[in-house]
Amino acid sequence: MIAIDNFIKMTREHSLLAGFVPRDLQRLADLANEVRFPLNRIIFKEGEKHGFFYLILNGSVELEMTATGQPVYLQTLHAGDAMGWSALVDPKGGTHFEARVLAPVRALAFEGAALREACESDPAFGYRMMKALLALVTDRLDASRMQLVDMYAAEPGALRK
Amino acid sequence: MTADPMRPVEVRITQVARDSGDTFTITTEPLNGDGLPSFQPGQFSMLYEFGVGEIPISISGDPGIANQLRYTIRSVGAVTKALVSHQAGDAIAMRGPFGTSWPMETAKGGDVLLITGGIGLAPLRPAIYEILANRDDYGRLVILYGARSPKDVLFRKELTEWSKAPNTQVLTTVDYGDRTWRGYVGVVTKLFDFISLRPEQTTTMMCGPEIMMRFAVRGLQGRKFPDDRVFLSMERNMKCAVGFCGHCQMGPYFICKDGPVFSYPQMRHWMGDLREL
Repeated sequence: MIAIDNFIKMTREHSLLAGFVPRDLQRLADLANEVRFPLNRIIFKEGEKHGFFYLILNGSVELEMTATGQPVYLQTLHAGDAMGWSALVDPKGGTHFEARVLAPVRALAFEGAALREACESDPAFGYRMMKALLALVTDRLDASRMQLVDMYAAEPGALRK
Repeated sequence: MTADPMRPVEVRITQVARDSGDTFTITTEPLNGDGLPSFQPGQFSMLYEFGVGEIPISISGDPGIANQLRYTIRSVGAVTKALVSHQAGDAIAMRGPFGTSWPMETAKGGDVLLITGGIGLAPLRPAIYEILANRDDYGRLVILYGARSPKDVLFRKELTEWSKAPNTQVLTTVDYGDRTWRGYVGVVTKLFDFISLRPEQTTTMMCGPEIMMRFAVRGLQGRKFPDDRVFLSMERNMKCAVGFCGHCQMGPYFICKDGPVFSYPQMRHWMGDLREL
């Protein structure tokens, strides 16, 4: 649990929370725990049932997947980014990426099960939470589409092939 | 510009330097005593490979150096492959420089944001040289550069040097990282989160794939950067370079003559809507 004043200060850079009303922020503050991860720590592995959703406050994290036996580095996350959204929407499935610490991380961690329970018990909060998550996923999807187009390639447009 | 815009003049290649796996920078100087024309950042030349063909290539060198024109070329077609396989001392032919230039005067007194991806960094490099050579004329300079992968990052040494210049921020990201890369991974628009500029006093210049520029414009609009201070360099199939043949027409514009640098309001209705024929 984080004091609400602190929570608001800590999450100032998180546009994800822009649509939340004060009561929602209080609910989130009650569920949040501050965590730290040192350099090179693997926060979760690909496919693992990790169960936590994070708001990154400081540091950076690299998301990677394994393709043909080699790691492919897909995105770096920084202060103001969120990570681990599968803990909220897909409790039975595993994480989609491996997350490795590139620069020491301070974050707010939320247990996925507790957040889901909060969404179920307060549908208005749940709706705002899902809207925020959808915005986050849309942003990631846009970025993934741009990567998929392979726009800097000599012959862009992997989708056409 | 060369005396007759339709008649190529011979120039001597003095250096061919590899920038990445398939990208090279060639340096040209006068072959005869006539000297080379000066250029404005953002302009391009038509380079002619004898017996193969002619293509438009943006000038990527320093506008402050007289009698020298540099071109950064990606070796992907018959003409480009022939151009980059030359040795120092060989001759090619050139027409130009042609086209509009980056708004270096308009940008004076304010901040400058350069957004670029892939080989799009090459046409912006002369603007960077110009700003750094006249540093007091401009406010904060931010360069956001996206490349496909770490091995595709162009002008690495210069990116590092530029980042050390006063009041200058250089951020590079790659679409796909590898073990050698400790920088940003993700699309170039994500870098907006890490910059600090005065939007209303910032001139933005961007060059890269059109899809990148469309997303970048959207990101700028969300951050209240005024549309009329956003400039972009467009690419189309330029042939004559003087607005005669019509190959590079885009809506009401000929890219070769009215561009390649346009303000965003000029391009707003045409970007992404017209496919190249």
